[in-house]
Amino acid sequence: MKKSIFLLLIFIQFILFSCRNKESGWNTDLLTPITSADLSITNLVSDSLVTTNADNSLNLVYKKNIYAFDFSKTLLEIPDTGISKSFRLDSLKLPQQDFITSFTLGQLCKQLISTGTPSNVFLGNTIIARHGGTLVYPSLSGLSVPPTDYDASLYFSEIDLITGYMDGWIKNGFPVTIKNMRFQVKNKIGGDIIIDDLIDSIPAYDSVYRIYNLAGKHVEGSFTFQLINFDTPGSYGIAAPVDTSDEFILDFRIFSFRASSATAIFPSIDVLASTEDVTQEIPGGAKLTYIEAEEGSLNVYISSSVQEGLTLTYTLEGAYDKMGRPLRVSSFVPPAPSSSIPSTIVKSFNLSGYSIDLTGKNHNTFNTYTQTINARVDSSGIERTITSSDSLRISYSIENIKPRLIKGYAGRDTLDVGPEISDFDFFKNIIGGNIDLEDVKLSVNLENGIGVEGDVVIQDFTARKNTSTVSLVAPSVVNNRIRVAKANEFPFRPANTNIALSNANSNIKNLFELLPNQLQYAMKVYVNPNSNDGTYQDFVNSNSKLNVNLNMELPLSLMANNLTLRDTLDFNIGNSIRDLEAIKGGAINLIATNGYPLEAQIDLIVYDQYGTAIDTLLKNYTVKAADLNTTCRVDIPKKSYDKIIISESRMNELAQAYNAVVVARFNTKSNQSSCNSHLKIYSDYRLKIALTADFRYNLNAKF
Amino acid sequence: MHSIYALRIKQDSTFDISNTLFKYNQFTIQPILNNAWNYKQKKNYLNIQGAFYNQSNAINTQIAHAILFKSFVDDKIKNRTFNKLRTNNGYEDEARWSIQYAHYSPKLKLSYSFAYTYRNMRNMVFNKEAFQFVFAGNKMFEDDTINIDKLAFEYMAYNQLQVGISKMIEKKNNCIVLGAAISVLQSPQYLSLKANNSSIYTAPYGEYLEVKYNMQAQQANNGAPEFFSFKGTGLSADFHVSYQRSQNWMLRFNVSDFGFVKYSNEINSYKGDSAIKFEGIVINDILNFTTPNIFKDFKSDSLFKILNIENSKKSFTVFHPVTFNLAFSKVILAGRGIVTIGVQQKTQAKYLPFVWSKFSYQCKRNFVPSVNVAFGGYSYYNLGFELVKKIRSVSVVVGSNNMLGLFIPQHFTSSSLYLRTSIVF
Repeated sequence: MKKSIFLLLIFIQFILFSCRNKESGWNTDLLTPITSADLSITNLVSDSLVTTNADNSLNLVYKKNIYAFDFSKTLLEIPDTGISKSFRLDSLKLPQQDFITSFTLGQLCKQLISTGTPSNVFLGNTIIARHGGTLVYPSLSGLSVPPTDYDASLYFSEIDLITGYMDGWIKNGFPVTIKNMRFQVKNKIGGDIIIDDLIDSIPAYDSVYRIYNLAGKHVEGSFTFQLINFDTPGSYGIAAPVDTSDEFILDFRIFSFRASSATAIFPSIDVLASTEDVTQEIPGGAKLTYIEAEEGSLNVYISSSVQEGLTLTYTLEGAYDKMGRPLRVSSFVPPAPSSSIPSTIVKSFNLSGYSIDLTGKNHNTFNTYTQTINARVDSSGIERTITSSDSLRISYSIENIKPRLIKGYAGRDTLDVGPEISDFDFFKNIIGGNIDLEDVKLSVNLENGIGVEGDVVIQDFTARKNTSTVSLVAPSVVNNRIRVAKANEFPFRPANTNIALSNANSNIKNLFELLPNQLQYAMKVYVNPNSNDGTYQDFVNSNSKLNVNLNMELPLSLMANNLTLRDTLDFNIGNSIRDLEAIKGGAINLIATNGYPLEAQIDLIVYDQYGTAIDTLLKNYTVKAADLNTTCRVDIPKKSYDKIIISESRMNELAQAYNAVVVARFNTKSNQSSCNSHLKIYSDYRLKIALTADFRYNLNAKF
Repeated sequence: MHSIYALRIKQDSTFDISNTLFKYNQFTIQPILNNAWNYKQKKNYLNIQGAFYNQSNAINTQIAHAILFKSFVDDKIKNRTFNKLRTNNGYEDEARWSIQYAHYSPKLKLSYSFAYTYRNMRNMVFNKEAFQFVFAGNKMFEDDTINIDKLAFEYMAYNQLQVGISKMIEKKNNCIVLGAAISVLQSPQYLSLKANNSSIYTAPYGEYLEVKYNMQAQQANNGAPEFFSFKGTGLSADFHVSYQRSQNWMLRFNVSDFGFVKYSNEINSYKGDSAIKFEGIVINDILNFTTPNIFKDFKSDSLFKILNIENSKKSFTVFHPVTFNLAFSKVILAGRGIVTIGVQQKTQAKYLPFVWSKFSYQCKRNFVPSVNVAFGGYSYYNLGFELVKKIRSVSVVVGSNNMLGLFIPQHFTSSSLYLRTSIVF
């Protein structure tokens, strides 16, 4: 029993040893850097550019755009335009038709023989018998040739002509003169006489040309030619050669058709061609010669009563896309079901990326689109009747044009800018104290990115801080017209006009010693003050702006008197208490190595997410100013130490931290009596801030 | 009244080592008996045992136990240890439990054994400043340099499956036992760190640290221990030879853990040989510095990046520390007592020869107490005990090779405890 108790005691000892403390691991005292920041003036001044002078002293160059006038909003407004137009097919054209008819001397002899008149029979047989030889031809009269049919129904069935002509050569291949030749052309079915002509004489082996006006004629697809009568004086007692194959030829054509109505199997023919200008009014008196569309559309509505398919081609002349392709849009208009029920189509085309010439078809005007419309009947192989009352109605509109670039004359205008107030954040973190600057130089830069000349008048320029204001006094600048040149188009280069303000010509130093947080300004802008010079060389693109920039050059030579900066930083030392539970308290050391002749007193207050102050980590922590040498420069930075004691409970409170407010008060300090004026800040000045942890840390190692 | 097993066994003309006092002569520095070498008369033998020991020449048992058993190490414990630190210090511990079955074949006079053992061990050597740095931090070294040289730490845990065989060669009153065992090792965890010629200078107020280091580390225990994961596999062998002269004296020699473990290429290897000046996280734009989340973000990855430590995944092989044990036992007090002296050596850095002695006395037929003393290894003085109680075919053993570290842990640097129960059938 005693032995059992002995064993039990041993194990109880083990168990007690293991359970006597909930904590585990061990605490170590760590002294380690946490973070360091080497601060130059460029870290301390936001949005600024530091330049170095020849003596290595620094200038702050602060650039701020206080105003950007977007001309594209006013000068690039192109109103919608549209036109609706009807076209009749009064210019309906049919192709030229040719036809030839002839008869030989042998055929004429047979014709004489067939008359049965003895003299004619004798003569006919004699001529035939003398073929190849010669003969003294007697005079004859009252000769005729039976009618010859000509079938043109392959081209049209019937046609009512508004205009049209028939012309041709009548070639006499016989060895005798033909006289008093009368011939007729008649519709074969209707019998209407189309041509009835009498030709006095056609010498042997000669020809005559005739032309006949067919206007107002009704022509059928089949018609006849007939030599109703002709005479011959014979060979005047002289033997003439006999060749029965000699021909009398009628070689005619019908051309220049303009039909009021035609029934035909129409071939593919152009039925409409129209080119015309459309001029629109642009507000503001702008006279544009060219635009490049960033957005926009061409909308086309076509209504056709033509009972045949049409291909309609719309061309916006002088419009090309980025690939150099013209804006040409073709649409097929199906045949109208009937003359009273037109067929319609509606289409829209994207104009984005197109450049459009607005100088008209003669390139001598402005704000003018030039359009060409062509309509062509597409042959269907089906016989249809088209009349001159058949029409095409075409409506088109150019809408929502948003130009990327316009050229021409931009118009004349006067624009008021302001009075407006712009935030000025250069001194945004300074909440108190005074600063005495040795000098301030300010250049007001008018950067004109528009290809339009103008004048600018600065009417007001005032620095504001809360209720305090200081207005610019600069007689040579304020309320004077300042000419702003136009930008260069190619290569694009904005025109810059600079207005220099300094102590010499203004009170600009007083404005900025106010440490303003707002700038108030008012301007008047005169666009094209010299009106239109007739060159039409203005241009405006969608990025064109008139920027008003402030370029401030602030030599860092100053005296600071309790110049107080305030800033808010995110401050989150850990996501939860659990993240920090290993830290059992300690301290954070602050080590400042100051190379500036400025003393700083720093407060650091930590807030939770509800804005409640949790802790004041620093109160009047002094970063000592570095000492100056006899030339008023810092040679050796000065170190300052401080310690923030952080207990375990304080650490847990800091876990709730959300942000921290830093308030720093700066004063220029000089240990040299000769350096009591403005102190220059040099490029090699640095402020190094180091935070180190002096913590008791619970190390819960697992081996 | 008190019969002596040895004499009775001698009457049987058989060397039954398992039933003689010689079975008590194994020193508890190897607290797990390897029954592959125990020659049995009984046919079957089942043994379950668990043990723990630690020893050091500097770290007292209290701090070792606190770390191992995850209790808190307060400043008092640390300071007590700091006072004991020497220029070079060593520490080792091991915990294991085992179940073993052995079978004896009378016909062949062969004993076969099969065992499963879980082992968990650490060893390290370190200088005084390294220990102070780890346990006290660097604040005490402000404006001073911590030199870390010849630091070595190794931690290993593995499962061991062993098959053993032993053979007794008997001639008159002389008996030789030869035994060998081979084990398959499966290791889920391994961690090692070596650092040489390294130093840390802490500037006043901790403004910066100058760290010079030459280190390499391997880590195979990411996350929670994966008991059955095969991050590393290996083989090891044990050898045994003993000579017994009648029931009078015995000389034995053991070689243990001669083997290796090869870890797969998923193991993290770290290597660094460089010098840096660390000034904290450098902030380039303090006005837009949004989250000084310095404590949360200061994790191992960022530390490795700062220290330019190369992290790679590759396989590597670890050779076990091999243990050599030589012991001589002599039966005394008319066969009721046995005294053993021995020496043990391990292939570990700075390990001194461990000299030990054990005396066992059979008070009763079924109860044998022992005491032992030792010096060496990573420890100094050791005073231990062992109690053996036999109840029919069941034996229960409890012992320690240094009970001083158990009961006065704040003053002694070594301790051990083992429990063993076995049954023959």
